Amino acid sequence: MTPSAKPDIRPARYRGGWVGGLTGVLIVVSLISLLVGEVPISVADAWRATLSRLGIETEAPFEAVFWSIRVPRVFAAVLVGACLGAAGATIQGVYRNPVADPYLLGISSAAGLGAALAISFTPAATPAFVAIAIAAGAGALFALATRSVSGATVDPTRFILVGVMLGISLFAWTVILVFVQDSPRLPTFTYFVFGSLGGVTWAALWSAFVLAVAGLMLAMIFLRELDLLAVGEREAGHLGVPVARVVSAVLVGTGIAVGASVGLAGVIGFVGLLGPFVARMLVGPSHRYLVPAAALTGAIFVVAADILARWLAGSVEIPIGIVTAAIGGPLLAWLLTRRRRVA
Amino acid sequence: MTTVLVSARNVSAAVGAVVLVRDLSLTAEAGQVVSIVGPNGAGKSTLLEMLAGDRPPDSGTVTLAGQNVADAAPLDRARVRCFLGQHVASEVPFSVRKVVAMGRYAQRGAPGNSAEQDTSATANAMAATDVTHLADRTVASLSGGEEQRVHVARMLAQNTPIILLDEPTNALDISHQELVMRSLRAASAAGSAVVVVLHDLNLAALFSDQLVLMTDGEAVSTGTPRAVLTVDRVSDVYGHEVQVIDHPFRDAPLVLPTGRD
Repeated sequence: MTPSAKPDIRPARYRGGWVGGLTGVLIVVSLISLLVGEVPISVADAWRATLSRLGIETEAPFEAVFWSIRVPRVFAAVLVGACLGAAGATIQGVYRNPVADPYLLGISSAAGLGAALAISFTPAATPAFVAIAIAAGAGALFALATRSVSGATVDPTRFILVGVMLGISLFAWTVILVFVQDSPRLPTFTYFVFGSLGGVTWAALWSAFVLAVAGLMLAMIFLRELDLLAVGEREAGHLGVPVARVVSAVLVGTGIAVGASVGLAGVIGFVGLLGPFVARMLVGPSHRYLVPAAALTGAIFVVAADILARWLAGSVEIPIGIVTAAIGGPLLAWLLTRRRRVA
Repeated sequence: MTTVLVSARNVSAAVGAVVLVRDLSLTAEAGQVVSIVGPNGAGKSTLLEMLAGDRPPDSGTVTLAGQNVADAAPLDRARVRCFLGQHVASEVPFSVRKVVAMGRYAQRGAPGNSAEQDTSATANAMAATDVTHLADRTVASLSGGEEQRVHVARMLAQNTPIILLDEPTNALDISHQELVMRSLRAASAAGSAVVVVLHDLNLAALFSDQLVLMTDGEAVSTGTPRAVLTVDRVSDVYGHEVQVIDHPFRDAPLVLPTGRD
């Protein structure tokens, strides 16, 4: 790499500004998303539905659609995007590799298999919470297990390859299960490959929300220590960082958050790559800003992709993961090549 | 009154049947710079890893500031010793200032430490290794030698009574080699014990109180540079004929390869 005099560090005042700006963008796209869908809802109708919900006004025509379908769907998009974006940032910190991501590393596939097994082998009346919790557990277990089986080596590439290989296999087993079970209760093949935000219920949303918040809080205990891991795991240990504890907490917390998102909306790719990438360009590499910013960029990306998924094909809904891949792939490729020229 | 800060007693290390360090003992006192020298594969880095607590010895014990290094938690260890190994991750995306300040991690929360001390220790360490002008650059954008100085600065910022460095000067030009060695001498003058692996015998001779000459995992000679660096011993250990003369204007021996095997 040629030395460059260009500082790549964002002053603190800009970082706070970007986090605020991204929050504003997220609110705007979320409000737009509330109005878009097979049944378009006007701002006036949305307002009346809200007033009716609060008991201030009665007989709003779209109250049921708006409050039982549209609102949980948008909240789910925000939650899933935030989990995947933040997870990408923390996983990349642990593995010191900007192209690590929970989807690529198989954490999403493991959670998907967990959800599929839970739905297949529990009675029909089992609440949504069970499948989501098992998905979260599977995500956490897998994130930790790939790290353990590959051993504490200096080279993070090995962890990543182990995750990729096992993830492909787990995905295959999920598909086998989908075909063998052939049950109307089990979500379709598409759900496990490309995800879906259709059919999100308030009960499922709350379950995922509680688990996701717990997971993200655990993953974010050691944000300062994640910065120190950038000089290497051994070196961080020499500086006094309890490396094993930090890595375990971050992987388990991240796995829970990713698993909760998969339990809610299936497997959605590219968010964990694109979210942190854009966030890093805006706020720099320090994890105390990067992880919250990546949660915001991830949420914006998923909410926007969900608008497109419903709007592009009229009455047919395109799976959300198809949209994130269709847009995220080329966008990420462009950003990667553009960045190389700058650096 | 001398204080022994680093003490290795009869330490050995092996990988399978290959013995890397055999029954070696070493001490370093407060105020001393001890250099470990010897040919490639002599076991110098393995010895330093054992001193740092990175690698438990197969037999023998290492004591740092009176405590068995094996019993100490990472944070306590980091308050007693800093350790710069040979393989530091490259492409670190953070600024020089931030990476040097990482050396303060163990001191934050230590009794009597303050944010002002963190800032001044970071600034002093950057000045001592001549990286102050690079403070806002990312480490990933630096040259190899600049990067090495940043990591030495990170060690100095850690401000520990024991300083362990594995070839901290191998990527540096002659001016910065001397600068880094002088900063280590300054740290020892302030009361630290410095143990450093060096390849350059003449640099080691100029800046060390004690040399430990290693070959095949054993210390063949320990003592002052003049006592250790004799013609016969150096020629024998390196398998290469040398002459040893007095440095023309500094008080140290000077080892010159003759060009004959």
